[in-house]
This record gives sequence, structure tokens and C-alpha cells, in this order.
Amino acid sequence: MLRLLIWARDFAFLLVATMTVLFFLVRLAGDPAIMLAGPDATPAQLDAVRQAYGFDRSLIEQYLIFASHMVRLDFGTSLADGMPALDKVLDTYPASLFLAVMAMALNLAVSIPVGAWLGQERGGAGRRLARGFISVMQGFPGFVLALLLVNLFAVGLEWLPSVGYAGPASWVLPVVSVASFLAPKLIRVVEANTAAAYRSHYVRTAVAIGTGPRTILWRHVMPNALLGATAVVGAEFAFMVTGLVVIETIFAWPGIGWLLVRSTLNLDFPVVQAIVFIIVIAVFLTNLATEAVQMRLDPRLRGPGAAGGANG
Amino acid sequence: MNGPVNDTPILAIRDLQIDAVPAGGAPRRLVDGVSLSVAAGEVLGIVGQSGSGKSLSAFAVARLLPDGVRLAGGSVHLGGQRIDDLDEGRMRALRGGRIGFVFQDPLSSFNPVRTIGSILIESIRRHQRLDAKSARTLAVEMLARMRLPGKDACVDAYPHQLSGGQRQRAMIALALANGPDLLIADEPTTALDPTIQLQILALLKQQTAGRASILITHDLSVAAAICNRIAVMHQGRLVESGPAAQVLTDPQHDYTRSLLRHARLAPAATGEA
Ligand SMILES: Nc1ncnc2c1ncn2[C@@H]1O[C@H](COP(=O)(O)OP(=O)(O)O)[C@@H](O)[C@H]1O
Ligand SMILES: [Mg+2]
Repeated sequence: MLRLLIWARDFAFLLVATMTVLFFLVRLAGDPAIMLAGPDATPAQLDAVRQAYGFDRSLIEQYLIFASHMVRLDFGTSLADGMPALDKVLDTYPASLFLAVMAMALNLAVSIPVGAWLGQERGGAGRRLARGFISVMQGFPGFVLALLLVNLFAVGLEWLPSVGYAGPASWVLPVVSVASFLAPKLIRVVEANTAAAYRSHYVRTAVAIGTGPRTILWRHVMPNALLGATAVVGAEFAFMVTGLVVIETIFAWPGIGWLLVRSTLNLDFPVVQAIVFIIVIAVFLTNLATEAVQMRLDPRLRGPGAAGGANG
Repeated sequence: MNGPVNDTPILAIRDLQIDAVPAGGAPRRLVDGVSLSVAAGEVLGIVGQSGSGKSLSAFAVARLLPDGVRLAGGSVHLGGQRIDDLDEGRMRALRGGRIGFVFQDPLSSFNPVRTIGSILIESIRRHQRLDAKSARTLAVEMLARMRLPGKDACVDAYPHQLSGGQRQRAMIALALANGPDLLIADEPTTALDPTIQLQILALLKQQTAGRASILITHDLSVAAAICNRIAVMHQGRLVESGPAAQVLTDPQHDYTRSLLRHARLAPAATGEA
């Protein structure tokens, strides 16, 4: 109960702070009236626009109006097309979340077995080769790989569509691009945690009671190695829910990252504010879920609990 | 029982050689020419300062050596049967079955995400043909016999929920779960508070009856408390061994004498503090 209150307090603080900073940053970024009225507008036309949208009031006044509307989840309408800003965001977010979930699923499916395999032993030609490959992958900026994949499979071989969000074939390249950006880091963490678990005293205990290598891997090593990896998985997911701006732009993926770029360039600040509002909530929920998973996996986080009586 | 059976020691180690084999470099001898034997009912203390090769010598019995360390020579017999050349499957059947281990640090030696009972049950079912329910009953019984408190004797407790002494009792229950012939305890009291140390030593002493036991310690007073025989190790070699009374009162080797001097100084030093 206390935990929940602390969470709620942190969440409220984070949301208010972020939205406040954002509000003033956006107002510093440029004059939206020029965008709305067009470059050839006369000063009189500009003034009319400013009056219509309330830009002529003081910043503090505008902020208070904005804040009072935000409390009612009213972010105003898009300056570009007059649609409610929040609706635009909620319409595009599922595509982003879909990409995030698919990429994370692929990332987990690859990184956990590969990391566990690498963590079991140091030597061997296969493992050395895999480690070298992962190092190279880790050095690639995500979008370079995405562009290479597009060139190879969409432009060169014409096997897969390069853009859009229409059916499984169009998902492959974006999902693979994102997953291959996430995987090297997770593989490294799973590998390091697996190796550490194999060196641990509790695995020596398992060997000392006659447990075989498979049970040692599945029942002793992996639960601990995955526990150590949950923080990274959570951080990677939080990173994705903030919008995969570059990937969505390259693949014309109609998600929140793509919307964010367009709205920012157009100074469409109601939409930008709605996007950030939703992202803050999504990141917060992701962190909450990560913590819940860690509590589930690690009995030490669930508090001391009831055990024995007297010492000794 | 007949004479010849009784005469065969439970454990006989002959001319043990253990090497460190670093990835790139040349092998380095860590333990050289150690020979020991332990009969049923006997408690052998292996004493010596840290790094003298006590743990490696004892772990080598069940080929429980860390990565980068290997058995380079010698032989190990358990109950008259040679075991150092057994294949891994047969060796696994001995570990936790006929040979039980108690380790120094009971917190790091228990898997943090598994209950004490689940580890015990894993060992019991590995070595005895028992269904899950009977294995659990036996686990509770073993823990209760080691005097863990509560109706279920902490069988469902996670390691962090127990005190240091309780964890070491659970570790002893684990070592004894399948009625081993040989009990190897490596510094079993070193990580514990002094008052708890005495309780654990008393419990160990009681549990050594009828089997062969090895107690590794750097503390001569611990060895003096429960060992019949004492072997002294120094820099990977056995420098002296014999009946406890003889080694403690009439040491033959300079190194043993210096150990004894330090052991006698220790209580006086703490008394003045
Ligand atoms: N994994 C290892 N690799 C290399 N050397 C080791 C390893 N483990 C122990 N040693 C060395 O072997 C020697 C004996 O170690 P150990 O048997 O643990 O000593 P003790 O138990 O008497 O304190 C020490 O010098 C130690 O540094
Ligand atoms: Mg040691």
C-alpha cells in the first residue's frame, strides 16, 4: 500500500515536471503562428491567428490554461489537421507498441539461448566467432543496419517490402532491424550473468549434491542469469516505448516516432505534448512492470518474510 | 562385521598431485604428494594456513575442482574402490550420495532464488528412489534433526530468510541427506559468530559418528575440539600427520609448532582487547 502511494507520487511528479519543461521548450522552439498562417501572411493576419489560438496571452497564462486542460486529458487539436491531438497519438501508438513487442520477442528468443551458450564456456572457435560478430554488431548504429537490410532484401533481392505496415512481410525488416540493435547488449548481459552463475558457490553446491549439467543449467544457472538480465530487458523496452524515431522514419512505419518527427517539424505542439504525455505514462508503466517481474523472480526483493525463530 | 572390511579405510588418498592449468601458461603444481586415509568413526582435521591446499585436496576426492585446476596424479579410493578415474556419471552418483560436502559460506552456497527444501529434495531424489512427497517429508525430517525451527523446519524458507547458523545447519542437513560414508566439511564455522561456531561444531561432532569425516580448518582450536587425527598442510604439501593428541602436544615439524604458538596466542590476545 505504501509502495503504491510512493509510486503514485513519483509518477505524478515525473509527469508534471516533464510536461512543464516540455511546454516551455516548445514555446521557445518557434512561433507556431507563422506555420499556421503561412510564410506570406501579413502582420495583421499573424495577429489574428495568435488571437484565435491564444498565443497573444502571457506564457504563464498559456501554461495555466494548458495545465488545466491537461488534467482533463484535453490536449487541444492538431494545428496540422484539426484532429484532437490525443486521438492522433492513440491511433498511432498501437503500431509502435506492436513493433516494440515483436522486436523484444525476437530479441529474447535469440539473446537468451545465445547468451546462455556463450556463458557456458570461454573457449572454442564457434564461441570466439560469435563473440566477434556480436562486437561488430554492437558497434553499428541501429539505422545503418536497417538501411543495409533494406538495400539487401528490399532493393537488391526484392524479397521483402521496404516500407509500410501492411501484413507480415512488411514487418520483417523493421522488426529484425530493431531486434538486432537490441540483441548484442542483452546477449552480453546474459553471457556475463551465466558465466558468473557457473562460477558461483551455489553451483558448486549443486555439483556437490550430484546434480547433472542440464538441471544445473535450467534450475540453478538460468534463473539467476535471467534475474540479472531483467533490468536490461526493462530498459530496452522503455527505450522502445519512447518511439523508435529513426527506424519508423526509415520504414515509414506509422507509429509514434514517425508522428513525433512530423509534429515537431511542423511545430504542431498540441500533438507533441500529447505524444510526450503518453510516452511518460508508457515508460512509467514499463518500469513498474519490470519491477513486478523482478519481484516475482527474486525472493530477496519480496522482503524477509516469515522463517525460523531463534538464531543458530 | 568381519575384520578385513573394518580394516579398509573409507577414504584413502595416495600421492595426490593437483595442478593449476592456466589458459595460456605452463601448469603450476598446487598440491604435491598428499597421502591421507580416514576410517569409519574417525574425524581427520586438515589444518594449515590459507592457500596451503587444504580445500583443493579435499575437493579432489570427488573431482570437485574449479575451472583451471586439475588432478595431475595420485589415486583416491572410497571404501576400497578406486574412484579418481570414474566417469562423470558414476562420480555424480557419489557426490551427495556417498560423499557429503559442507562449505564455508552457507549464504553464497545456497541458490538465492531456490528454497532450502527444494535443494534438499533435488539431492534426495537424485540419490534415492522417492516420490516428491516422501522426499519432502525426508527433507523436513533432516532439517528438524539439525534443529531448524518451526513445524516444517524452514523447508520452504529462502536462504536469505535464515540466520547464518540456521543456513549452516541446513547445509549440514544437505550433506547428510543421503547418509554419506564420507563427510567433508570445509571451514564450516569460519563464516559464523563465535557462539554459533560452538553450536555448529557440536552438531558436526554428533553427526560424524559412524562415518569417515574430514574437517578442514585454519584454526587449530577447532581441530582440537572434534578431531581424532590431524594432518598439517603447508604450501601444498603434508608436513605432519598423526593422532590429534600427539600432533597438538608433541609436534614434530617447525611449521606445526608455529601454528600451535599462534593458536595459543589467539585467546590471550582477544582477552586483552
Ligand atoms: N581456480 C584456481 N586456479 C588457480 N589456482 C587456484 C585456484 N583455486 C585455488 N588455487 C590456488 O591453490 C592453492 C591452494 O588453494 P586452497 O586449496 O583453496 O587453499 P586452502 O583451502 O588451504 O586455503 C592456493 O595457492 C590458491 O591460490
Ligand atoms: Mg580453503
